[in-house]
Amino acid sequence: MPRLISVLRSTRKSLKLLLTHRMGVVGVVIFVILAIIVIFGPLMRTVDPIRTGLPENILVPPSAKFWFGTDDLGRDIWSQAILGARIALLVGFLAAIATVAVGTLIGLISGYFGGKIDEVLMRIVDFFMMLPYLPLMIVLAAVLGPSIWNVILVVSITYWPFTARVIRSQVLSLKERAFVESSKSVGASDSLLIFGEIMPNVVPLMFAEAVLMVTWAIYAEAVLAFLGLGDPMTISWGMMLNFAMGSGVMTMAPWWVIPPIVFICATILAFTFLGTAVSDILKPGYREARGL
Amino acid sequence: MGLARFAIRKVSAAMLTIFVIICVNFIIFRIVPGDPVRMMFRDPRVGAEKIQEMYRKFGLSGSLGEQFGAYLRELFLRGDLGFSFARRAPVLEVIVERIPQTLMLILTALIIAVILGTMLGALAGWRTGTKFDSIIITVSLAFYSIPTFIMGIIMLVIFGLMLGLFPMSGMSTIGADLTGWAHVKDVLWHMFLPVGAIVVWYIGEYIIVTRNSMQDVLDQDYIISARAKGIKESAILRRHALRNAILPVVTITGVNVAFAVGGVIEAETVFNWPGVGRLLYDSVMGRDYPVLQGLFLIFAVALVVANLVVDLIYGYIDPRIKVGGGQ
Amino acid sequence: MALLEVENLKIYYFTGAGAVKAVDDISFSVDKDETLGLIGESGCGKTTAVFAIMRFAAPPGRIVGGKIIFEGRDILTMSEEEVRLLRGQGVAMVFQAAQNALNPVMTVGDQITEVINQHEKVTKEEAWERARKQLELVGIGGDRAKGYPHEFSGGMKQRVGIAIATACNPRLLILDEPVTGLDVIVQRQLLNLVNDLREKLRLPIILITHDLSVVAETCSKVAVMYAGKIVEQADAVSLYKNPAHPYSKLLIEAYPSIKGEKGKLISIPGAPPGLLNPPVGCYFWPRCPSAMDICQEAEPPVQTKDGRLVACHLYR
Repeated sequence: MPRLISVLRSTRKSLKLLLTHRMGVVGVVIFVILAIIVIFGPLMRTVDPIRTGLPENILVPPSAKFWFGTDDLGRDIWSQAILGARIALLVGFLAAIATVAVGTLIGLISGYFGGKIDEVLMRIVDFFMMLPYLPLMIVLAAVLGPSIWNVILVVSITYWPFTARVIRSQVLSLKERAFVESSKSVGASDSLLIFGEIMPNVVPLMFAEAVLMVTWAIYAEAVLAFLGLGDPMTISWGMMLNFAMGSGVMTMAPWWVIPPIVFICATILAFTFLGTAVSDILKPGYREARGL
Repeated sequence: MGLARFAIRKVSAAMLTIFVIICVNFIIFRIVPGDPVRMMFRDPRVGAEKIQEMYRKFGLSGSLGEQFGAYLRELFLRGDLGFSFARRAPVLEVIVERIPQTLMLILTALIIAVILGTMLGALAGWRTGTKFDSIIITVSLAFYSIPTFIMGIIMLVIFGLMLGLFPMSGMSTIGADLTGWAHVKDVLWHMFLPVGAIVVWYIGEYIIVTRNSMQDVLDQDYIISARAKGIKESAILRRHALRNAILPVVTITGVNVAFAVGGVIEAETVFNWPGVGRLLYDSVMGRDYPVLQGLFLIFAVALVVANLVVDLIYGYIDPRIKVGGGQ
Repeated sequence: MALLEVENLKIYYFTGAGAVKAVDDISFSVDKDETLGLIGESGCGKTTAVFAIMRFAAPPGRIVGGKIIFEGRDILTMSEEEVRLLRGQGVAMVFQAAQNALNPVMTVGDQITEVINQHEKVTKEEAWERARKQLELVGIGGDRAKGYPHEFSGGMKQRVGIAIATACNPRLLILDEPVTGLDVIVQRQLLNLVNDLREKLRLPIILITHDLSVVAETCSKVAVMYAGKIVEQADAVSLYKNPAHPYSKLLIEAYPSIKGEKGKLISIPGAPPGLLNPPVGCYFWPRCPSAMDICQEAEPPVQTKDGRLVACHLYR
């Protein structure tokens, strides 16, 4: 229980710190809006977004009945946009977690052990970083089949090496610090050192990387869905754009594309801002410069 | 000689990477569940004799190792990337025919983005904190947050649909049959929106990177050294700040080629531009696996080569590498 | 009229938390045949003060008061352009050894010709010849002019810095921590070079350092700084033989002498005060072994004693 309280307290402190940063404020605001949409989506006057609608409701511009209008199959665009948020953020967070988890593990091992292990791992990392990310994602998604889990997998495979490099850098500089030497001299085991001493210092960076990964994952899911590789059982913002382009009538119904575009861009922007705010705050001297 | 050794090292690394890519390419398309090559044989478009031929060629009756050997043999000895049934043509031919169109988009977009982006970014970094700087970073961050395909759709709707200024699809006006200068103008007109969509994201990135690099450089002691010599500000910007600030910009151009590939795929899909990007999309939709496999190989190799070129250029312009041997 | 007269110079750093009085009302002067050593702990404001002579004040720092009179003209009232013309030609500076004060992508020769071309009308060949001669002057072969900074060692980079600074025959040379971070042998070589040049070129020098032995080797006059104020100014010999201010005394006693008698190594306990809200009275009193009641109440005025300037209540 006291652990929980201290975690909550430091979360509140971090949140307040975040709000001192201009971009942090914008990011947090948009994030809160998105959270509301995701949590209360089904309660927000939505209907099943996949079920085709009545013929007379095809391509209806925004009105009292259909807040965002309808698409070429009579489906309610408001529902698609609101419920599509869940897919975007689900994929975003899960892919971010997976990428950061794998990347951090590799970065920790590579940075801590150094030598041959480091060389081999970094060669693998370099190789992955060289692959063209979009063709890779497309080809893998095409070959693995359309499902939301495949999308998450594909996104993580593409981005983990970047996180690994970043974490490894920090581990290398942490290794030089005295506390590692002194712990070693007391006979601490490797895993204790890695997970007990070094990792806690790496957590802020992991968090910053996770935020960055979310922006990539949102983009990746959107682009894959747009290219027709998304999960056909769901509707996400990218899929809405895919349907719109494929329908041939996109240019006649701008209300169809505006909501997904706005949502995708706002979400990416929000997390980019949060990421910038977090990395600025982590830089030494941030608090002093503001007289905190 | 520092540069020669550096070059040899980089070239051999590149060749090794390409070989690994070839192996990975093979693995993706064979070992993965739902083996697409076998699925190809269930494709009704494939004739019976063709199936026999393919069986032999790919050594599919043999072990995986034999299949890999067959794959390498076809690739290196005959430059054969396979055969596309959907298009009834060799994969290599299908891809190569479209490469020039893609290069048109990528090179134009990159050149514009690099030149404008570094100029604006350098100025913004030089004048950090001013109104000019604030406007620039806000705009760049906004641009950088908008994926290329979305920017493409936005431009399509605004400039194509609402303002009717530019064509919304294709590379040239269908049925117009223009030649010479008129044809060139027509293509340029069609090129405008897709290039614009790609440029927007890149400019955002180059501005941000150059600006950050410039800010780092301005913190360096040799800048204040130059001021202590009484050098004019404009000369300091040119000779000391810019020359050092562009070094990281060259480095990221290597990584950027990957993003350029992504951007051009998205732009070609949105604007139906007949390049390799659109080919990728069409092949995915049409389940044309041989073309997909060939495309992945081509993209990956192109990236390795592009990175190699950038590395060599960087080696040349940074005297610490060119001359080598520090103390 | 001295070559350089600094009067009541005040430089404050304006941070989000308030104004830090980095340099608080200091005055000193340098004559044509003098070498002034400015000595003090890190953060005492010596570098900030001397940078002001070239009108360098890194934001959030600002020169808020005083006069800096060089060759009869107040630098603080000059226009930007006039100050720029003065730099490198009237007053020149050599930066700290450990920093990268040389542009890594320009040849050493180009960095010398740059300052020559900026201030004088010469042809490219003449400038390059002079650059080579400068390198010879500081003990580096002229044929190394086409080299890049990363090809030189720390000590040699310092020589290059001196070559650049003296290229246009300045009337005042400033050396900021010229030998910090270099090994002792290189230090000796560089200090010999500085002394040589001073005689050859008849150059007045201001030398900033925290190292007493450097000052002892090269300076005719010494000013001791503490927490943004000058606590004692004297000629070098008198200061070393007979330091007046308690801080100077502790500094000199804290410095181990290789040749002298073996005494106890004394360090000065405590730390300098924060300059955001400086204490009332003398800044040094918390660490001063001779502190009296009045020291906590009133700032000591600067007074003359035996031909030197001291700011201490002991000498009222």
